[in-house]
Amino acid sequence: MRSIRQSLTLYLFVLLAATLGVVWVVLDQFTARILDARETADRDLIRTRHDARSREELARVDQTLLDQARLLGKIVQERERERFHTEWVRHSAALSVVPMTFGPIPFGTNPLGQLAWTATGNTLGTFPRFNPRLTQLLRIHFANLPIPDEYIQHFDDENRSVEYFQINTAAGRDWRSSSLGTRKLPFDPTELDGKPADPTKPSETVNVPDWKIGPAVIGPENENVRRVVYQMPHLSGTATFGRFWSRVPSGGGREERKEERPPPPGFSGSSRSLVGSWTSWALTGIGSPPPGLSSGSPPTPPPTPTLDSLPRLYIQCARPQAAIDAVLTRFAAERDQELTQLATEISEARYSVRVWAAAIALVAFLGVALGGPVLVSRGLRPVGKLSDAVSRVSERDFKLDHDGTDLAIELVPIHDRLVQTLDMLQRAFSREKQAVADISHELRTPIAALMATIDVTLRKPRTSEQYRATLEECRVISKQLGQLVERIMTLASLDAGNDRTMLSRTDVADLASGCVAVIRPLAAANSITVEVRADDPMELELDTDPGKLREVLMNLLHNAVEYNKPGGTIELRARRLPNSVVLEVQDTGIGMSAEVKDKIFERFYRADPSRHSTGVHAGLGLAIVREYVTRLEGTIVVESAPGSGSLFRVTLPAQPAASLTTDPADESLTTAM
Amino acid sequence: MRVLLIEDSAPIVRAIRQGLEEEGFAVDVAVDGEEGDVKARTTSYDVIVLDRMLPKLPDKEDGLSLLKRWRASGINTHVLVLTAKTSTTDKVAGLDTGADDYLSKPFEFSELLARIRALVRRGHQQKDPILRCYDLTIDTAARTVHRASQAVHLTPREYALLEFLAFHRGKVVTRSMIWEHLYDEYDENTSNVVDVYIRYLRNKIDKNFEPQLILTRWGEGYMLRGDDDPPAPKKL
Repeated sequence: MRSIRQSLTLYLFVLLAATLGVVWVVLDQFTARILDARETADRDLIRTRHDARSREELARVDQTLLDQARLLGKIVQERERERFHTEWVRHSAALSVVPMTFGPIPFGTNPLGQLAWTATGNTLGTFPRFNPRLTQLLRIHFANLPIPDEYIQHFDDENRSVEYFQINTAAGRDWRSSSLGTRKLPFDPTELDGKPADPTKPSETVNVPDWKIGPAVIGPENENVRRVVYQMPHLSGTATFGRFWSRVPSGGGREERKEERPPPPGFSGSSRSLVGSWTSWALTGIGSPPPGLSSGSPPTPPPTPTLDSLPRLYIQCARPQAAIDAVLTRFAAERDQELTQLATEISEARYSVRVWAAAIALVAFLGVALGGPVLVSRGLRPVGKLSDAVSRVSERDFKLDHDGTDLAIELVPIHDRLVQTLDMLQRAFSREKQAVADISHELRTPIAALMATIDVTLRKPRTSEQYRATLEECRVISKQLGQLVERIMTLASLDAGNDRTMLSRTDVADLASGCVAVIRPLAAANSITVEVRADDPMELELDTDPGKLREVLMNLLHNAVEYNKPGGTIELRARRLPNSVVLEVQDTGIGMSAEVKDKIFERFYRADPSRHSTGVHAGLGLAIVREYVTRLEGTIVVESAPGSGSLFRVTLPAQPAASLTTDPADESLTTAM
Repeated sequence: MRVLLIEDSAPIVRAIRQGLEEEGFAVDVAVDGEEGDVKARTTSYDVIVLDRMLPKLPDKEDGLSLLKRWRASGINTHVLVLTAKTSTTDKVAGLDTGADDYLSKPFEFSELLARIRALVRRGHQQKDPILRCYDLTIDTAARTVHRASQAVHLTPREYALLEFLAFHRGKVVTRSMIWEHLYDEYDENTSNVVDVYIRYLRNKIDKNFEPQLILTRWGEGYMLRGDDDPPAPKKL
């Protein structure tokens, strides 16, 4: 036994749990995805910002280094030019007159430019050659490259102690800032040498930037530093100097261009570059031919040097990598802190979503726990009402004490069905009661007659004739009693379903005439004539239970006699229809009203409850007839009107008669067989 | 005593009629409701034995409907309902409708007889089944008559006449009253048969006894001597 209330409440909880579970999962997934997306985006943003910041810092450091290197270079160049000028004047007496081949020499402010013009002017169309004396002068100047400390004094203050400066000359001299102490920035002039991009195309020159930034290692402690190497001519060029410079085959690449970015990685690994070649040439001696200017392959040194072989200055500016890294580390720490904060925020958001979801679930559960039983009770109230009404049903009247007006629509069918069932029950009950009363009544009357007869006879001594008469009387009464009991038992047996229909091939016409033969004497006693009108007997054969059919016909004929007028007629007709056999019993009796017609097949019903007529049907005859016809799968109808006689029509199902479809010859043959 | 038997079962009618007549009752029979109704309304019966289930009655009516109508129209004859309906409700319904007694089938004839006798007594305000008149005693149960302790043997007809006179003791009963209550519908004797039976009765109960109990009121009828009546003067 399960309680609807408990089940419903349980189902409600299960449903709620399932719904909340689904909502929980979906919500969790959804928020997790959103939060993940946000976290990813924020993380990327932080990383990108950090990367950009780091790059900017590096670029700034590089730019600073480069700017300082350039500044230092400018200062050095200015000083050098002044020194060279001084030297030029000092050595001008020793210079030989250079023949001028074309045009007046625009002797400008730049003695070196003028010198260059003189050096190149005489050999137009051919490779210029230096005047030996000038060369000599340059060699002296470059070899003795004093770089006074005061040039860069102002860089080397305490504020910039983290920066290292070192100036190298092509001649191998160097100057180091005090911050370097005894240490040296490693220097390889070849790093800034240009080289042809493609050895097979010697005419092309490569663009070699005049600076390079990269990591370096200094000192015995192997301190990592960020270093910029900036190269520049030892002597600053004027406009004329620059024009001369541009005529040197490789001059195009020497033009200064501001490079924002560090040199490409491939640059640092350059092999023997042009600058390096010239520098080494300048250092080793002008007599040997300068390298790299020939149109041949790189190993082949060019035959003669050019003015480009002026020695160069290499200015290095460095900053300890540790300082830079410190900044970067700080950035990274900030980034990591942001990331941590972000992760915390995200997990907090996730947690708070879960807390909210749990709170909502709790509230929902509480709501269902409190409201569910109330709801269920409310929903079950109509059922309770109906059940109360049902419990009040008594066997006295079988009335449901509920009119069903305020019932839920779902319960209306149940209510209707219940009312129907109770109605049926009530009818069956009263019918049963009536049947018992009827049966007992019908049995009591003959028994009373029997007893009264015997009692009266026994009261006094009688003659043997009187006793005999009494016994005859008793026998008649007993016989009627027996018949009555027989009928009641027949009906009871039919009701119990014990009766079995024994089908056999039956000639209805024969059976009908047999019944009429039996009834005729009784009819004759009431001066009633009986007629039989049957179709061809061959057509009236069918498979049925002859016993039951005989009973049916006898009952109908008996009634026809019983309720007929004296001198009336009874007609028994048997007809063949395509799928059935029809038996009709027509009388000229009293007939019956429509109301009576509805009831005549009910048990113990009598149109006229007169018992002193011919039979002792006790109102059971037609009830039995109807039961039998039903067993034979037929139907019985009655047509009647008061005063105009009655017609009982029994229709029995039958196979289509062979004679209806075959010709008479076949039929006779079949008959013969 | 005259009884109307309204009953449609022929064997029962036959038996009861025979039994009652042998007990000195005049019995009229009606086999359906119509006939019974007419007879009950036109004749003064001492007792009506009424079956409930009767033919020839309007729809949904039975013997009780007849009874109800009789009572409504002032017919106060004692009615014994004789029926196959045995339940208490049926009995209650019968008695409440105005029946004086109720007997269910099957019944023993002696019981029916006793009940009819009781109803007859009740009709004459007589509780004692033994009727007395001076030294004459009439045992209505045993149907025996004693005069001065001597048994007197009477025929049923004579007994009925004596009993009728005894029930009306001290009052004059006319010939037609006697006729009406002691003879059934089929008796075709003339009214002087009453005088004949009176003579038979006088021979049996008054002949050798004093006082004479059966008195003649000339021009009116007969009567059984009541206590207030002066004894007849002794024969000279």
